[in-house]
Amino acid sequence: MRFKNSRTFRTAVTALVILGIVLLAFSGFLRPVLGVMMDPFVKAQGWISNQFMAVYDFFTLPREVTDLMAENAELKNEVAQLQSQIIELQEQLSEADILYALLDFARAKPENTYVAASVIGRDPNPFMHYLIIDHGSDDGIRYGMPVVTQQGLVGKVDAVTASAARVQLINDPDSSINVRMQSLNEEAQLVGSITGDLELTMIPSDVDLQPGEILLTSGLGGNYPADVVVGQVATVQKKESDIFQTALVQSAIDFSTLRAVLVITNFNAIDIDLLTGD
Amino acid sequence: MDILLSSILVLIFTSLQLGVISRIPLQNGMADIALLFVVMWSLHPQAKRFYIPTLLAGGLMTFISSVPVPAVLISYVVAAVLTRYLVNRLWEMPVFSMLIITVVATFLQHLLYILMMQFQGSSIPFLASLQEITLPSIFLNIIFAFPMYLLVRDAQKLVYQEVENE
Repeated sequence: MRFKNSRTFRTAVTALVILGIVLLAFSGFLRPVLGVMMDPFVKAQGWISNQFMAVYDFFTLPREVTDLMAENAELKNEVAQLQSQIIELQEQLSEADILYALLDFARAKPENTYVAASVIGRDPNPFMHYLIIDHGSDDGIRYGMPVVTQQGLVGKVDAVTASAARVQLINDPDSSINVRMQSLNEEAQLVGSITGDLELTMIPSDVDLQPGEILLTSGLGGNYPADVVVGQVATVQKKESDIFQTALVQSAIDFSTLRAVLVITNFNAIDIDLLTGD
Repeated sequence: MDILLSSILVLIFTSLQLGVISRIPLQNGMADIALLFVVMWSLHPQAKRFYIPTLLAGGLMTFISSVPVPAVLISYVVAAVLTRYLVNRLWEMPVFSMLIITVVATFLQHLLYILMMQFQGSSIPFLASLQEITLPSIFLNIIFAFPMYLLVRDAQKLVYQEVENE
């Protein structure tokens, strides 16, 4: 009796019972009992877990939104940079196209030497029609040199600094060019105006000038080389009483979108003012 | 400080004028933002040294432009002096002054250009110039005058506030 009531005996019995339950549980005999007992616990645990996650999300989600917003901003920035790169590459491609066209033109006329230049500005005075290009005397550009593109005549160099030059366009009011009509082989004078229109003057009244006639430089006067395309006759103005007829000319070049030009550097303009006394 | 700021702004606006504004014509007219800057800067009652940006802008434009030599510089100086003259009389109406001066300065500038160019032998028909170039230019200058006015006013707050604090 004394042994039965002893503390060691109770501990041993408890240990044996626990061991027996554990062995029964591991061997699977207690599964139905455990299932019945654990189900409410699992459900309660699930509910608690869900509630906890809801609270956790409530506190942590704003932080994730902030992270997402930062990431979004970063991606937007990247997209903007890529778009900017695309635009830059398109610009380069467009510039390359222009330069290839100019190169083709230069190859087609090997007798001339050219310096290619980009148009970097226009004269701020609206009465005058001048361009500013990014090459100057350091690149061999001198006063009076003709400026062309693959489409035709642009003008001539009017002023030069070491790294830039100013080009007088053919439609400037002070510009005057001796031209030749391609099919009629007659000569006339092309002058610019403040509005940028080109007018063909000094055409003898007996010449049968028609719209569409191509005009080329004649080379007279020594300011421009011969046979460079200048433009096309748009409308003819003829009065019976006048000695000369006039015509409006469409330039071969759109001066407002001009981006690159070629300066003919082996052509020396001749100043005939000394001979004429002007 | 005001000299430094105005000089930097003159360089920026001159560059913008050549590269951007000159490529945005209305008919054959174009805005002159360097002239507008000179006018707006001179409008401030504290801009006592208005002649520095005026001479700088006029000098730069004279160097770049193909206009007969003194025309641009004279037109800028006339615009600035006219502005200072009106500021002392219309100081309570800066926006009104700004508009009046913009119109008058542009007109005077173009008149000077026409006279100079005719003097040099260019064929410049006066009426055609007025219709095709001067009126569109005045219109463009009025459009550009408002943002320029606000921009210059904000810039001047920096430098003239400092002068007041000193």
